[in-house]
Amino acid sequence: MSSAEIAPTESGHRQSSRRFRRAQKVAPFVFLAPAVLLLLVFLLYPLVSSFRLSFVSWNGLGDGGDFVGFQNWVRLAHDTLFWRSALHNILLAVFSVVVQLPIAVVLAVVLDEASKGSRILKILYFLPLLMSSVALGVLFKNIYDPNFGPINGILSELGLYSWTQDWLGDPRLALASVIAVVSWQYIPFYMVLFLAALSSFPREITEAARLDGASGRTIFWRLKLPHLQGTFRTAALLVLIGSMRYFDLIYVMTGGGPENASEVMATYMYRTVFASFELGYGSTIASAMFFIIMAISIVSLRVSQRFETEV
Amino acid sequence: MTSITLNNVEKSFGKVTVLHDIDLMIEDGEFCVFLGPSGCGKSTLLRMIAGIETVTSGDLRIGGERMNDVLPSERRVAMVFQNYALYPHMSVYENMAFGLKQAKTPKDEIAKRVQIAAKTLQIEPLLERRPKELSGGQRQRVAIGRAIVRQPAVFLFDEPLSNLDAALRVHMRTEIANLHRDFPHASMIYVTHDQTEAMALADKIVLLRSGEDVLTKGSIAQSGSPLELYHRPKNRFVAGFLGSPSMNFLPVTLVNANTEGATVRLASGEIIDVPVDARTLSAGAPLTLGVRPEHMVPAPPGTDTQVIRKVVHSIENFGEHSYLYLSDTPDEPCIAKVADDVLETAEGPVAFRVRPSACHLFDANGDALPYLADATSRTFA
Amino acid sequence: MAHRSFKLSRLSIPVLGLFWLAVTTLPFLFVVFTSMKTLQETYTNPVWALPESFSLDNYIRVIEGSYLTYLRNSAFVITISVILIVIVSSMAAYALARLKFRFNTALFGLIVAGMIVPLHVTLVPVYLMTRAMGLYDTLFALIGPYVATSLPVSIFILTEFMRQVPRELEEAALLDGCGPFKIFAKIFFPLSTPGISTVAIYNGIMLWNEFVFAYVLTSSPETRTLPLAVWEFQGQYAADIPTILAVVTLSTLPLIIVYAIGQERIVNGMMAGSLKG
Repeated sequence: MSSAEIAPTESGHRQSSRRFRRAQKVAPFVFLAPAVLLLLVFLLYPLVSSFRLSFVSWNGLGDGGDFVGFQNWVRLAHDTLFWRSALHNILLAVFSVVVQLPIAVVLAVVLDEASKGSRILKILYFLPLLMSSVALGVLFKNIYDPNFGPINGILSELGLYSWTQDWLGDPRLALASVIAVVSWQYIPFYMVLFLAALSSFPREITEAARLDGASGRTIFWRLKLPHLQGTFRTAALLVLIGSMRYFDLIYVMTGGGPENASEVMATYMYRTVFASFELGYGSTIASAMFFIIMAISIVSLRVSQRFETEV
Repeated sequence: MTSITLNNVEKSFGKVTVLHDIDLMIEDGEFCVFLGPSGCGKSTLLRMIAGIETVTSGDLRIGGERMNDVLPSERRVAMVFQNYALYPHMSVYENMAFGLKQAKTPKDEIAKRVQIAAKTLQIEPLLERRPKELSGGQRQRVAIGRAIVRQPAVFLFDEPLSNLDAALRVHMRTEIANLHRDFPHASMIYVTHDQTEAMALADKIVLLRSGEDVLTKGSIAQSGSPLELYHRPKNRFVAGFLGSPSMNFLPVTLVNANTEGATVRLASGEIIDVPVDARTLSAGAPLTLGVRPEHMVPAPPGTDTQVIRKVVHSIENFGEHSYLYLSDTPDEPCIAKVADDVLETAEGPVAFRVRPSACHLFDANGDALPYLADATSRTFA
Repeated sequence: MAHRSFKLSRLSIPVLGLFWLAVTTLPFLFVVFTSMKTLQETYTNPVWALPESFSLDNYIRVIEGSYLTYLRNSAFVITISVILIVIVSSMAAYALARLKFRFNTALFGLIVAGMIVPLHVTLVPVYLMTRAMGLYDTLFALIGPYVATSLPVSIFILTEFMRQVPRELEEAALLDGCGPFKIFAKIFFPLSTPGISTVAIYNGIMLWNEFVFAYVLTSSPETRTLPLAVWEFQGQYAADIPTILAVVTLSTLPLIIVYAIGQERIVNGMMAGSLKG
């Protein structure tokens, strides 16, 4: 069979060409339709709807509630509990950056230097990230337990009875205790991040520096740490945005208490809606959360872009 | 009946015109090479014939049928890509069979064609492998095999050898020449920026130009047989593009012109005869004399006619030949390529004899003055 | 200076390495050992003591309870969600990476911006919508929000990935007679396997551990997923620490098993996913 025999006629060419062009025209719509539809229904509509609800007073019964204008937003502006929650989010962010990132860098350096066993260590270090926040919360609730928990148990066994605390029940300690658990879970994540950046550090530079007589310490402080700068910014951005919407672990461990000592925006919003049944005001809090996160994202992206162009 | 014709074809991307005024005829079974500097649009032209790029205006015909709007898969063309473009997730067999499968060719027919092609290309043992597991040369063969099984009327090659190392390139060049021999009725169009490849393979070279001249003079600088382009360039661009090192260009003025040829004078006073028709020009007109480096032959002492005198600034000896650098301005290089080892030269100017038939004259516009003798009937003195 | 004291001597590297190993694993050991104790032991023996008889009774009780229902629910929801995420996001990614249409870049930007939307903003409307659609307290209630919230990051990862696929392959497929749909199905989808596995791993793990939607959109034990098992059992066995910790172990176990099979892939998938997110 030669190609001439199976070659379509001229009108056949025109037909298939028309079919192809039609396919080309509809393809973008067909490919994008499912994604766009899902995003519209489950992301954009809820976002807009939430914003709409922020102008409504509604206990969830009946249909729709009453329009109250800016009443919810005015209430939010004067709601000290909301601002306290937001402050807790910021504290969470700041302490996460200050605690998690340095420890993560140190661990990354350790793994980078320890050639033997570093793979197995990395795999084990990563374990906490596989746990659900609920499991993690329940686990640490038991570890922090003032009566049966191992922390207080060990402290009193060591004769440090005065150091024992009601870790989650004491308003002065609750937020710090939660932050400790968050750090425990996320340090390995940033460690792997830094480890990847470190292992991309060119060997020739280390070798050249060695030849120039630089000590290991100089190489670390003068060469490797500056090399991590970009990764540091990425990590800080992730921590910042993550901290603003933190919920699960805190909800499971303390529910925001005691006395709102560990309340964050998301737990406050949740309680407002599903415990106080103030759907309108809860949506106001949620919308405020969204605007805050958006503002932070935009600002930090701008800032990190400026850094990148300068460096 | 698989000649390819392009009539007044034009290609632009937005406002940028890449190809302009292309008139071209590629005969049935001809091996045609698109040659040109980077950015001249030679790949784009090939891709227009393949149907991957649209034709902005003009007519493209394959075997007489207008193909501008016909799907690539129905143009009876097959293409070998620069980076092979083998599907990484398919075996060699699947790669070669893929197009036929899309065309709903019966399974046993596919198997037969793939087997034959694999045998021709000696890649039978590789049929179950993935492209990743093949060497560069083997991938190249598979890419060619994928083209062969489609039994195309036209083979299109887009710089197919540029990713191979030098030794393999020469080898594959021969294989492509053999392929042309094995498929005498298929036309082949081959894009390259390598003039050696073009000279070695082509029945016809289409030399494309880049830059501003495209809009005024058209994209095609010249098309013709390799030797025609080499010995009878139509303009300075073609003259300078083909040949390595490039042709020397020297400013001259016309002394007189008659039916026998033209006589010109160099700035330094030497008189050169060139067998071209310059009768339309008046004496004193500024012209450019073109002489290839290999046609600058050191003259025996006492030779006075048809010589160019130049000071030798530096020498490179390659063993098989030597380059003498005769210009102190790098912008206007002047080189003599001589057959012997040159260890030292005299102080002061050295005389180089140039055969009249090896000389070219270009007018101020860059066009070659018409040659009086036919390229094919040239005598090699 | 602070960094004076920070010395990476030969000794400090293994010491630090082992120290963090202890910090990481001690809580896990605490869970495992305590979960094998009897309730009586937790009151009488010190907390770090080994269990007297490494008994699996607590586990058996939990498994004989409703654990398997939770596990099945989780497996069901996650499987369907991940399959949908992969299909929907790879289709969209192909269009965004390779097809020409108006508003392509604008749409891509909008979708990527979807990554910063905090889930809590969508919570109330999604809850109301789920009730209105009659899906409340069914497993299907979770699939929509799960897929949609995973799409931005997945589309982003896959679009970046598909942009790397050489154009020549697309052109070769064109010459071989493929239209846009076949090019996607036969070339881009199979070639994106590494990107797709990143998307599947990352979203699979995130959704496996998802809490808020599952908590809000379902209510009865028959329709709840594994993270809620812990929550439910905690209420049920309030003071029975060993049993609760057995639930914690059992809820984490499936992922640990998967992790044991492909650690590198999971670590890399999680990293890639969160970095983009």
